[in-house]
Amino acid sequence: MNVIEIENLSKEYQTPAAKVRAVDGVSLRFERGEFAAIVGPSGSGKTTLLNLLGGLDQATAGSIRIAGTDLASLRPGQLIDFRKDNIGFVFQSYNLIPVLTALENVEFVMQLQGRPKAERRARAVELLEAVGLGERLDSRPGQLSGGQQQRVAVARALASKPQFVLADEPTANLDSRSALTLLEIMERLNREEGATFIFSTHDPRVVAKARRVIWLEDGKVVSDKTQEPTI
Amino acid sequence: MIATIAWKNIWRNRTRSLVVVAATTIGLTGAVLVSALSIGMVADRVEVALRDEVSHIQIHHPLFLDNFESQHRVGAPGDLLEKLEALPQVEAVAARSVLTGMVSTAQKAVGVSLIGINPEREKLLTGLWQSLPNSLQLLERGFAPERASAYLADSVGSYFAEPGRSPQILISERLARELKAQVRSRVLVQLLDAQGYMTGGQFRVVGIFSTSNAMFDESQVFVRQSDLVALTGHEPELCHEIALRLTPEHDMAEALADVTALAPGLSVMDWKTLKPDLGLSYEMLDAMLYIMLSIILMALGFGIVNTMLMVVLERVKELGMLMAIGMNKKRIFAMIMLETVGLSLTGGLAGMLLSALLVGYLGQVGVDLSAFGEGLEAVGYSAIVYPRLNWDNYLGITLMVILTGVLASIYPALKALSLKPAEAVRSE
Repeated sequence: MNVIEIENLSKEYQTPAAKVRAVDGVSLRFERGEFAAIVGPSGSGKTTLLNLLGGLDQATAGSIRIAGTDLASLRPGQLIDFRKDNIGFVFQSYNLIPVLTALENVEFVMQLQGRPKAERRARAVELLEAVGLGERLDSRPGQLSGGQQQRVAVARALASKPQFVLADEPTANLDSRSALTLLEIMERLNREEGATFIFSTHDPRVVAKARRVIWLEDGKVVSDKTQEPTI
Repeated sequence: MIATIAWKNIWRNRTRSLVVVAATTIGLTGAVLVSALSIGMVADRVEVALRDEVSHIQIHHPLFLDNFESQHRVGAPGDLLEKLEALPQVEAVAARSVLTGMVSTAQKAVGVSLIGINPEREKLLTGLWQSLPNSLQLLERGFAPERASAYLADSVGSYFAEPGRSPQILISERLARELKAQVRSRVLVQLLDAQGYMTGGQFRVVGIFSTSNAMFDESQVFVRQSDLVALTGHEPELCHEIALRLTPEHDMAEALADVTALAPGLSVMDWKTLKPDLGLSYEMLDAMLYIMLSIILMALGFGIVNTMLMVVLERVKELGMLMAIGMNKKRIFAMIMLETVGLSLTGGLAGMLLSALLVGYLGQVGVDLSAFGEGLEAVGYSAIVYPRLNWDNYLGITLMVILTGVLASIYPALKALSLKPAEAVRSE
């Protein structure tokens, strides 16, 4: 079953010099449980494509349907609610709420969903244990390493039980060991939680872990292949 | 949790928040203290005026206050006094005769209003009998020792308690100095008699009073009503003015209606009508407080807007993330607003606590404005001011601080809402 259907998607930006087409006629399908990497050089349109997929930006042309819902048909308020319930985000620079503990950061999305306290507390603890931070529940982001913060971000992204998780260069700020640990966790949670993971990267270690690799160049898909992930 | 985040966010930059809190605390304390001083000054003046000068209600002949002619009198005051005393809201009543005349010594003659009173009845109504201070009492009232000793003698006489049948008079300390008179001095009182001829008689000074109202002190002397009538040949019940003191919890409109019903054809006025300047000051007290606070809070509000704009600009990435993960505009707005109100209210509550302590303390010991005492007393105000503020004023100030926070949050919150999450999450 297709979770995401992208049809002939384009995004143009007007710069002072000229009009730039960051995403150019992209059509893709993602099924439930995929672990896919969007790869390409800087300026190839990876981040723009992820922003469009996450409903953070609006396409110039084409459509995105997520679980049957056309994102373009949603009003701004509906789009925010849709993101809250269907999409998890992992950002390159972690972007945790610095005044909250790891546990509170993970709980926060569920609170926005209006889930009962006991349920969200149990889910947050479960996820933080799953990312290996069961002992750091009460630590604030400033007390955690970069790799640990990104693991909290992954737990937060999965807290709302989303259809899919979008991760924009999740390992870009991490050392090799932390990056590998994070990838293993993401892969395991992808299997256990059944959530689709789509991440942009130009890190070969991350690409090697993906089961599907989509190459972008100048906003166009130049290659879309499945592969056996390497250890 | 949004309220928790907002509160924690306030203390992310502790120094900056403390500067805003300190500015709010100091600004508010200053405004509240100045207002409490003004309120204390006017409230004391009103209390003194009600106790010693006008009482709550006065009854006159409708034309009496126009020119103080002696024929404009209240007829049959005895019956009226009895009926007025029976009213439930009336605490004390006294009738007076008011004649214009001259008081003179060998040194000087001064024009005054001669108030003929029944000392026992007047004692129940006004505080005149308590206004005969000696040096010790002045010290107890908080006067500086050198000021207290500058007052007359160690004895300033009595309240019509001298033995003997000769006519007695109470004059003020100011008048005594002017006339160079003292206790037991004799002064000459001259005025028109019942037939309109000039008459006069000697009165012995039995007491020297002093109130905080220089005008009152300089223009009024008090004699027994019986002595005044004997001197002028008026009828024994000569009455130009009936003054009433009401119970503390009185309803003025109701009392006025009751008294008017008992005094047909007479002019019945409350103290605000009799002393419009005082009435206006009293009515304006709260308005002045809130006008002054509005100005201070407006200035502080701009400072808070500036601080919150900095906060929003520093947190662009975080706000973008919050929008991305599903925090809607209403919640973002609420978070910024709660943060601003929290910041304002912290300073506001600290300011009010400090104000309450200062007003409480100074309300007990008083603020000595004797450096300006002469000027203040000339217009009826005491030189010792006891600042005061009601609890409903504190509630009003709290609401104003909250309103300032809400208004100050609008622009920064709108700035936050204008962020585009896709750009905000990637900003540096």
